[in-house]
Amino acid sequence: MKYLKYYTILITIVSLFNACQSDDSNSEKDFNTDPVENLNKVIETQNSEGYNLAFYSSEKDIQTGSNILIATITKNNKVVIATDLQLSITMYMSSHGHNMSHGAPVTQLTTTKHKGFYEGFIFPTMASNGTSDYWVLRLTATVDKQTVVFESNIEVKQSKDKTITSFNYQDLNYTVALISPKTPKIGLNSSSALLFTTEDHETFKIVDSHTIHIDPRMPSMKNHGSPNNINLTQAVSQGFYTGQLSLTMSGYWKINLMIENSHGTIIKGNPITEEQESSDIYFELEF
Amino acid sequence: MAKRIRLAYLCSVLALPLWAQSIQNDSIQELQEIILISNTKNNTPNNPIASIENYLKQAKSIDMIQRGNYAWEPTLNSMATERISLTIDGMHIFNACTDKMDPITSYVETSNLQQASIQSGQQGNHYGPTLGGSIDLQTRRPNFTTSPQWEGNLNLGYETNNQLKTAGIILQYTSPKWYFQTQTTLRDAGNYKAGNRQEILYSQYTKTNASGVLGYSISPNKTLETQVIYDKATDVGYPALPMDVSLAEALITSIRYEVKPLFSFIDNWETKLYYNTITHRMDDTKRPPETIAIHMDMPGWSNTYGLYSSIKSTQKNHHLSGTINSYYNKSLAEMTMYPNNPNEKEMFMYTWPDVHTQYTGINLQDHWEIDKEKSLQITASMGVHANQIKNQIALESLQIFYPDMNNSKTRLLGSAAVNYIIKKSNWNYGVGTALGNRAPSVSEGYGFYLFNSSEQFDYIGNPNLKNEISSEINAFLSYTSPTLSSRLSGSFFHIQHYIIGNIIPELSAMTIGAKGVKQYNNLTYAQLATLNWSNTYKINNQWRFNINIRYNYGEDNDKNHLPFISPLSYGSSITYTKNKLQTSLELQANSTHNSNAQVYGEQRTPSYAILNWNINHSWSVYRNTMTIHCGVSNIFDKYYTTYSDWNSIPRTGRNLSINLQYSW
Repeated sequence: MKYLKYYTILITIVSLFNACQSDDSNSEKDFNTDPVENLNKVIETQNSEGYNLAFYSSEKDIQTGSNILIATITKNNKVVIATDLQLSITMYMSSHGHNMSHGAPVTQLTTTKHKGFYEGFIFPTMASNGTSDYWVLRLTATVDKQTVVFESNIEVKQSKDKTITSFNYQDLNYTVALISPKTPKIGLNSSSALLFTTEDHETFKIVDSHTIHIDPRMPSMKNHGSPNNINLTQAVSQGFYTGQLSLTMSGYWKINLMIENSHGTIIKGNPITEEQESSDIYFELEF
Repeated sequence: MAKRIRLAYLCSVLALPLWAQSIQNDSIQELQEIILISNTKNNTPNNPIASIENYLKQAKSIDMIQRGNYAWEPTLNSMATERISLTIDGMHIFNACTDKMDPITSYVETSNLQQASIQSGQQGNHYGPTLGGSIDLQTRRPNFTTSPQWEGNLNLGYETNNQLKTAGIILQYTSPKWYFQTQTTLRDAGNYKAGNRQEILYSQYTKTNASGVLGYSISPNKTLETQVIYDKATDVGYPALPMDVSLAEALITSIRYEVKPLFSFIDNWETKLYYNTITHRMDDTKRPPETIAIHMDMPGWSNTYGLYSSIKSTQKNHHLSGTINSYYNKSLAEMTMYPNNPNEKEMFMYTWPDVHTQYTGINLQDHWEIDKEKSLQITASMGVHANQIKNQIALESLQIFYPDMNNSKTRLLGSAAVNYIIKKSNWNYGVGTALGNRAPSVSEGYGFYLFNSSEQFDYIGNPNLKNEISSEINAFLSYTSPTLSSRLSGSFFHIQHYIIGNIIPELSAMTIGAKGVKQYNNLTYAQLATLNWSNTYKINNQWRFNINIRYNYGEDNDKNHLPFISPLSYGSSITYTKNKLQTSLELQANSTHNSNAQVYGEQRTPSYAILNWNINHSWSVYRNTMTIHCGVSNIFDKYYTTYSDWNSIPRTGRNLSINLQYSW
């Protein structure tokens, strides 16, 4: 028994050692290998100057809600360095008989540890519908000291779970989008979200200093709730709202939301009570 | 054993209903109560139709929590499964049901068993930690015989109340080198009827039990024995609970090696290796759909590997024994719920997080006969108890409540007890004191939303619980003469860190319909006491009269009553024996349960008294024996419920039983 114990400790130490080693080699590898090796190319477009723009995602397609994308610009199959990247997405709708358009939130592309690869989120608020309702992604960038523009129609699928929702408060339109967990687990999930506002439905700004209250509930279980959630707050200005989402079991969860502004006013949502089983804004997660 | 039990017939014996006998001899045996289940003479079950629970509840300090007509949960000194040591031939077996629907007594049959050995308090620490005491069910095993011989027993039984049909067969071969015994018992029962012929729906059950034991005499002092018990219950209704059971299955196996004597100074050295596995499946498909809020599957598994090795030695007037005892148990239970909306995914959780429990301990006992009158019984034990959660998902679900909890926890357990006994002509008396602790059970430490349908609360385990520590004092006084036996005995337990559920108002219930969530926590302390007085008066050679009375007490540190503490209970019987005929009339009663644990959601129950009558007779048929047992329990068909009936489910009404046995 005693020897077994020492043996176990020894094994643990050896495996820890191994783990460290492999970690090191991994990070070295990261710089040398293709950063999009295991990702799916979800958008690809070329402009008239012969520059090629590609977006990669760990998902097979772009869905409503948060999508984290890796972008890269190439010319003649060589990655080029871009600066001043400006990303936007716009929905063009004609299915209701008259043409209209509106934007959706994005985060601007930032550099990654791989030269020439940029990372950012887009948050389409609705699914595209063939040629009548479609999203256009626009990117302008400075490449080889000249400004290049890309435009591409993108197909957005309805995500299984509702993870983005919008509301109005005092002439402003707000959008709140769940970023994580993407694949929830039973237990405590670290959770993040972003809160945007817009005046013109075209340019969206991250809202600072609010609090996103979360109350996960299971409607199929008489609104069973899961304890020890931590409401989502910002650590830094213009950063993600982060907190902790607790899920006691697998299944369908409604994450009821309340948005509180910096003055402590609830600007949207309501607490869950016996009579009020749902907030008027919520996310959904099913796993 | 038979020799040692020197029939200081304590009369509780005679008071007992049915046909079991409880025998107690003096000195060391004063501290032990034996419920005989099989007749030692011809090695056949006394009354195979009676369930094991019916035998056990005749012990002075045992009660049964009933959730239906099957698998009653024994309590000893008002303490249930987690506070007592329940073993079968010293083997640890742990139930697989999170809702206590399968106490391990439900996995054996009366025809498996020779007797039950009951020890109160820390005297029961022989096979591991306990607070309330120990119940060791000892299986029947043949002995080697000088010439080869075959024996057998066939029995058939019927009870009118629930159309219980039983059938059993025992076959036995014994020789100088080998013994072999096999047993099969079948039981099938419909719904029982409470008093006033009220049918209790979902109280049916079907059970099959088979066992085999094979012994080989390696040399005159060395025996090797292997034993297998298989038990399978299907379609078991639990009328007091929201769910039934579709399957409760156990396989219990062991190999035993015994040397007696070894050298000149060891009387007996016994070593056993064992393994048992239990599968338990709850089922709600037989209930009317409108009563089922949500359909769910709740299976549970419990596997235990273990061993013990025990040495007994006599050194002058010291009877010494030393036992090493170790087991490894894996308990896993899960719940899958099927939403009424078929498009939604099913909901899944671990209710027992694959807890692996390892215990290794040593127990030492000395029974010191100081002189002819005085003796001292000293026991001490120490062990290491370790829990480890092996399932990561389950660990993370518990970390919702305990973010910093580790996947393992080790506890040091120990106990010591001293009893001083004096015999003076017709009088025996003794006092004892003890100290011991126990680790929380799997449910108490790691349960996840376990629904208690009596309190209507979901329970959350608490890995940070402290060990319960019991300080105990006990005493007895007995008088035995050829005509009168009387015994007064009592125990008092002061249990520090008593584990019980507290309501956590901010938590939301999981089970539909539950009032809220309770978390297991340590009280500062709780105190329990039990006092028994039993008397037998032998009127003449034919007639015996017995009366007994028992008082129990249990309060927490805020003077709240604890749940499942019996009100004043009493019983009386008169027995007539002549030749091979025996008949007895028995009264069994409880006073009103006024000290119900309101704080813990317990209901008051009214007083009751019922009358039972039974008769048995045996004949010699050629060289074989035919025995008939008949009985009527609850003669006046009284509708009643007691403090230990889950959700106040009423007990069985009038019941006629008949059992025929043929032994050869």
